Amino acid sequence: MSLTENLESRIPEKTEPSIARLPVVEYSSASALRNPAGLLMEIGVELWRCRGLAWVLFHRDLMAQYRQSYLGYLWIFAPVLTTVITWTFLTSQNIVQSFDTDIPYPAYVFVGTVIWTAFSAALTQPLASFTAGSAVFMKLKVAPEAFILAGFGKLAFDLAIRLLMLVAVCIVFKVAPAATAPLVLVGITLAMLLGGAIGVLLIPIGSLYGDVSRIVGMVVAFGMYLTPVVYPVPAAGWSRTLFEWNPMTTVVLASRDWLSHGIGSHLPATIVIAAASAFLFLFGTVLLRVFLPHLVERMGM
Amino acid sequence: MGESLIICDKVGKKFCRDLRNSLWYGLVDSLNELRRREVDEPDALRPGEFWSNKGISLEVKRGECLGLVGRNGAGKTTLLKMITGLIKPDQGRIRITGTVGAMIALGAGFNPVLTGRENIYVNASILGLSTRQIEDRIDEIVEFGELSDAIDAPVRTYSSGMNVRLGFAVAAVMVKPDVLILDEVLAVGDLAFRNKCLTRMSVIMKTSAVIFVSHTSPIVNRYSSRVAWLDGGKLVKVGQPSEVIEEYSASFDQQAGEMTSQPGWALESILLNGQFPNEESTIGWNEPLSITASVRLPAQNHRVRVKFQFSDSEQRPIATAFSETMETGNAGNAQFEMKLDRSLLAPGKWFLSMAVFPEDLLSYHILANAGWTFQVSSGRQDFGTDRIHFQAQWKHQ
Repeated sequence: MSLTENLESRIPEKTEPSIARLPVVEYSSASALRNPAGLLMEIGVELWRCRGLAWVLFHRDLMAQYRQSYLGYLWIFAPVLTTVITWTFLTSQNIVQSFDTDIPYPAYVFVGTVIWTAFSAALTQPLASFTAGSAVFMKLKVAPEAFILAGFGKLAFDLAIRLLMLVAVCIVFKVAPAATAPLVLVGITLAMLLGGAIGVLLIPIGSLYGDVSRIVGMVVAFGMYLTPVVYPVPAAGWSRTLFEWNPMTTVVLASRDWLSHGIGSHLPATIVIAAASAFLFLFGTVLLRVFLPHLVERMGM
Repeated sequence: MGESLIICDKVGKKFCRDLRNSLWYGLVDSLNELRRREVDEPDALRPGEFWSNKGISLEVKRGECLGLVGRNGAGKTTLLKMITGLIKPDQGRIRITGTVGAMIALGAGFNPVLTGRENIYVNASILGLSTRQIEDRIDEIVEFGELSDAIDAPVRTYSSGMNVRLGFAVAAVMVKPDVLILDEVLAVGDLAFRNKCLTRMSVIMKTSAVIFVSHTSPIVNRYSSRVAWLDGGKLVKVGQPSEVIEEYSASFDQQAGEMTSQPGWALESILLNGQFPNEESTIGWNEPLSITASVRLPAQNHRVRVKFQFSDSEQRPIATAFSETMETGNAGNAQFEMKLDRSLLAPGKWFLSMAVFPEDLLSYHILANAGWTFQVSSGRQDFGTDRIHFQAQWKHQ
């Protein structure tokens, strides 16, 4: 059998479908928002279609990340541990005044840091995933949402491992979990949703201008100190007002309550934050779709 | 021939090379989308913009293969990006019927740390295949890429040839679309693999509408049913492959050549086998070739090296003759002569350029690429597309 025959026999004969059954797309300069229902449908279909790709990409990044490392999964909780050790050291040596916390201080910092990291990582991840995937979707028609979803998958994986460690921390420091303790998972999800919503909204401008990711990095570093992560909300003063206006304050306080006290007083505020975050997330996703051809065009320069 | 699957109707696209302006326009255009309106004046160019594509109307039917030729920057890639839906046209409309497959970025998403097998899953998922579909075809991919020994090694241990073979194998085995876009991907791997790719593609081409970009004219000529020539963003000509490619190749002659020299240095004449090289100059394959260059230079002794370079009809450098160090003497002019007993340049059109360098090669005295051209002829018809042919001693036992 010759090479040609061999190859031809392996390609299944294509039966020509009638043209009426084939999908038809038309590209022009008209705005995608001229047909909002069609756009939402397109986004839904694309998200559903790209779930397999997102899973493969998530798997790829996970394998690649740990295959090149000896310490492997240790790197998932190393940053959290560093914060806990730093602040426990600072307060135990009276370099920084010690804080009156209702659970042992290291456990207090651990919970706060896990929630804060969920927020800050979800905030920076979408732009990072979008930029990393741009080499592919600037050349091939691939949903960039797949890369962003894969990035969130990676965050969720890291958080799951940190949650296991949270259980260990609670046992070591004898924190008696309340019946509502599983709700900490909701707190973490909420922190990710809020961070992710802002992160997705920042993609269009962040993919064009490098300043955005730098500013975000600075704001995140500073924002931790305006959130009760390593110390409680100040009792008074304008810094208290700043804390109160920070939605992450509510998320962190609610999560700590759920862990060791009970439902607490933050539930209504967390529901409002959840609804607003979900709306922002959806809005950011639509915005990204509408802007995408322009971003691909300009990033490709 | 089937129905029209690709229709471009007066398509235009603006482009801006200035980065700052371009980013700003990107932001403005994005915001215009929110106002649900088109650009204020779609036909007007903003500062720094030019038409990367203008007034392009094309139609490709199922079973047809349109070759796209043109120099770098002619707008071919922009057109392909619009057809695949990556970017939006500023003018006109594009209508695509059926599924679109693009072989543009071979090996998209490869991670060098992962094995070839793992990367097949990533790459094929990017091309739109489900895990089950990949599992069904993975053996076929490995076999096509001729990589069975290396498939479980990390891709970063692969040679560049193995890398492209893997990328091509995934795409070629997977892609069976209604509309197929090929951007300069057929010239991969060694000769045997390239032939295999071309055979594979020619099978797919029979049932798809294909647009095919390549800088290798013989391949375009052989596989296209029509050829479109793009220049400066506009369609110059669409027609029979041989006809369009001939005109396209001829256009290289009309381009003004470049000649730069240091003060006091100038090339006064250049002769190929005793004649000024032009369209009518012809030499034979495997026959003597001599080039003489007369140069004016500052009147003192210089130690120089002279280079003659031969480029093929698409102006790709193919062969070079580089002299040892020579002394010019004090006369203020010099003649450099190069002689080949037998020229191995294959039949076809050739371009000649020359340069004079100081001995240390750190700068130049003369760089001359003035579009000098000549033909190589041969009575033989069996040369194929390679540009150098050896006259060898053959034996058989």
